Amino acid sequence: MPDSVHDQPTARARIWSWMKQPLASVGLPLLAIVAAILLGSIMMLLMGHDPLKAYAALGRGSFGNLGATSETLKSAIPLLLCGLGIAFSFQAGAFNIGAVGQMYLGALAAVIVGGQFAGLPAPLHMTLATLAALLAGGLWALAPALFKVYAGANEIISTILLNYVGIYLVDYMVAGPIKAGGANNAPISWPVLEDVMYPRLIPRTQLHIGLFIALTAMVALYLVMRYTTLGQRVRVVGQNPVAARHAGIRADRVFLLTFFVSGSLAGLAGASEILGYQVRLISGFATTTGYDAIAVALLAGFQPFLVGLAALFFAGLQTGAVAMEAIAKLPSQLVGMIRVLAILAVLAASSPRILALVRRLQGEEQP
Amino acid sequence: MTGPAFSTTGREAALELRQIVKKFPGVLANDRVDLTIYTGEVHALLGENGAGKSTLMKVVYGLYHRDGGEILVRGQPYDIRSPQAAMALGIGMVHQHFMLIPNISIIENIVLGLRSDRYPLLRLDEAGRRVRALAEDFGLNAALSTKVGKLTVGQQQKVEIIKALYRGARLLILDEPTAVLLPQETEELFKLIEKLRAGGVTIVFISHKLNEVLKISDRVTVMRRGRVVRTLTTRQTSPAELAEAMVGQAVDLAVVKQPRPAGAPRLVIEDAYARDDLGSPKLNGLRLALRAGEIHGLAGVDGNGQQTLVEALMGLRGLERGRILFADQDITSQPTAERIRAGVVHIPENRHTEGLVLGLSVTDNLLLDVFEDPPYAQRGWRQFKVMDAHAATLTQAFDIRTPSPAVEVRKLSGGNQQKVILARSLWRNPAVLIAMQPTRGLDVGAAAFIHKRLVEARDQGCALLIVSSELDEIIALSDVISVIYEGRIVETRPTSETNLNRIGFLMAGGQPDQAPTGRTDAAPLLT
Repeated sequence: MPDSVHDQPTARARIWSWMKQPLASVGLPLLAIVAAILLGSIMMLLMGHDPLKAYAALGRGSFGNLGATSETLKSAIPLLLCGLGIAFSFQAGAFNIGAVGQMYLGALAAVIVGGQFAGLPAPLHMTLATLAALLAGGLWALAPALFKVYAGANEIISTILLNYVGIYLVDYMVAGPIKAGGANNAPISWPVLEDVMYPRLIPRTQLHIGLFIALTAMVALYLVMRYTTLGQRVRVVGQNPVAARHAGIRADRVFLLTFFVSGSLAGLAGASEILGYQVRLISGFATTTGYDAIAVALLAGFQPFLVGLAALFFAGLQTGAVAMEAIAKLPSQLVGMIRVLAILAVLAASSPRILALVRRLQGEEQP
Repeated sequence: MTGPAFSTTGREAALELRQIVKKFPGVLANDRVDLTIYTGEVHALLGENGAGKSTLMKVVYGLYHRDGGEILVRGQPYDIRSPQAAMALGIGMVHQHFMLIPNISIIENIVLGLRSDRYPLLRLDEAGRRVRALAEDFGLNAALSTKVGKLTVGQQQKVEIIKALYRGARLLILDEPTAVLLPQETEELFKLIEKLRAGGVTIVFISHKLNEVLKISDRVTVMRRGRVVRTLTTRQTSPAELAEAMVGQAVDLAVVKQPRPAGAPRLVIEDAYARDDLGSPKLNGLRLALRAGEIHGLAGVDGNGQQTLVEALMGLRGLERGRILFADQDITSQPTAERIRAGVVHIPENRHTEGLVLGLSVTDNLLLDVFEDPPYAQRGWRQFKVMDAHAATLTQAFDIRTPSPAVEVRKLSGGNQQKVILARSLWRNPAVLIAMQPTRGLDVGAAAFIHKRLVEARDQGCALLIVSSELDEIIALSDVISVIYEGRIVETRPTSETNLNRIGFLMAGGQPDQAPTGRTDAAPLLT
């Protein structure tokens, strides 16, 4: 084999190899977003709406003023937390699709701990409620990881199934054991005590300190992946579990740990929803966030800071959609379709076929 | 085999290959290959892994497209671009890994992708009659409605053969057909091959096992490093001649080695029993002792327990019975990481799947088994400067050719990738090195470099176990050679007191007291 090929890359080749990495990780998702906007425009035109007006409303409704921006930031918090967890687990080759259920369990734990034990000092109580949520989400995720390690059960299927169990468990709890007292008969839980609620960041908005929790998690995950042996272990196991085993790394343990961390972050997302602004847990409180977060993580290529950007993008779509309905008078079904189209385009951009194409562009073909 | 030696006179060439060239990025898999297969013969393609046998036949079957040369079928040149085209010319292939769908029936697998005359409806009844005749003929004792997943491996192979014949194959390529079979299934396969030959089917039998080739083939073509070495008439050749052809030339393996007394036993495995992932017993009371300052070669036909032995020694697989001693301490249940820290390291068989993380840098791969230990990490934080300095030292010391240690290891040539693994194993003077196929698929220069480093490690007192399917490599490197057969060591002898014939005889399951004797001089085969 000619070793000399590898010795002296030409200047052009060097510049190209330096450029194609960001091209692949940023260019492709951007292309996907442009495609989604175009597709959305076509649909709006077909249904007799003005796309320019609609997208203007989307822009104004998501980042147009302080109120809109803080609303978008608020919506980004659970997406960011779940997205970070998913990115972490996927990097270890552990496919945690169970963020929905883990988030529900986190919310449940937060509302139970936050609604009881009156008389505890507020900061302690707040911390306990948050930690309970973290633990609940983590343990809910640990179960499918244990099934996988000890019984070989496919984690994708078991996490999805456990999502349903989590949702029904919450439905049952809010209809009975933790149901709000009084005359109201709606399936809604007791409220979290007032001084357990997260402080607001901006007065007269719902933006709360959960944003800092999420941003801290983002920076922490970046540091872990970039600078620590744990991050390296996750990377090695994720990219080649067999080689990891041969090098003495216990892949199973890494798998369990990443699942626990991933579930904890989703649990934290549940806590920040309840303790941040929702106060009570209601049936169907976040049925899609945990799934949207998968698209967030994929769009970001599992890079923590990009997960932040992607979460912001998705949250903007979410709050902007409301404005599209209100200002541009788009039917909510159409708004929903446009939103899902954007998600679909992102998923297409990270599909295996396209990834293979990218890899070929990077000249990594193997016999 | 009985009867006279196979004669090519008066026979038609079923397949003729002229100057076939097939390249992969960085690898010349077939280098101007000429080959003629005559109608009605069983023609063995013999060679080590990576010699280019399978690639050549995949070119014939239309799975790869040749980069040069001509393919003639029954005297006519054809450009075969797909398996469909090959089948239309009466060429069928049974792959090492079967191309069957486990959850549909035998008959459905056989007609899969064929158009019935009532398309788009299936006509299984009609196909069934023809298939049943074939199945009875070849002793496939299973109902045609049985799901393929329920069949034994041997039966599945028969289904593959019947599938090819049903589609009109007159030339059947069998790629390492015995690799997946139990001994009795192999016997049955050989009977089936005899029957096919009697029925006028031409067979190409790809194998790296000498004894099988000798038993079943009429003629044999030996390949090595992408080229045809020679074609021999099986009845007129001997195991020694075939081995010599497979081994190749002396310049490849001139290992310079001074005699050196061996030290005390350092790694000992006693009375070991273990099974592989599929549950078949692979070690059956194996015992082996590796001594300090000695290269111990392990010869054996692939699949006789070598893999399981290495896994057991490295703590990657538990023993059902028996124990492993390292420096007189029982390490039978010690995990892999602790063994590596204690100085028991290994070079895995497959560098891409087991040895390297291809998407990570050369530095990361050089540190794959120590990146969590100081000084490369302090309290969980990776020390990049220390790691970079380490990588710079090793790339230089082991002559790893890379633009920079920060480059993904995927981008290195095979030889340099293997040097990364070698450097990782040898840099801290390990107590024991277990090397599996340390030079597989490497060019002569890289192989010689690795041999030199292995001998240096021995001179510094390391205990080495070399597992290789290349007998010449074992003979050239080893101070002592053990032969493994069906999970047991048949014989352990100093290299100077054994020879290729004897080793080949034992590898094929022969008894030591009946084995040919003789000495191995400096390099008997290598001239």
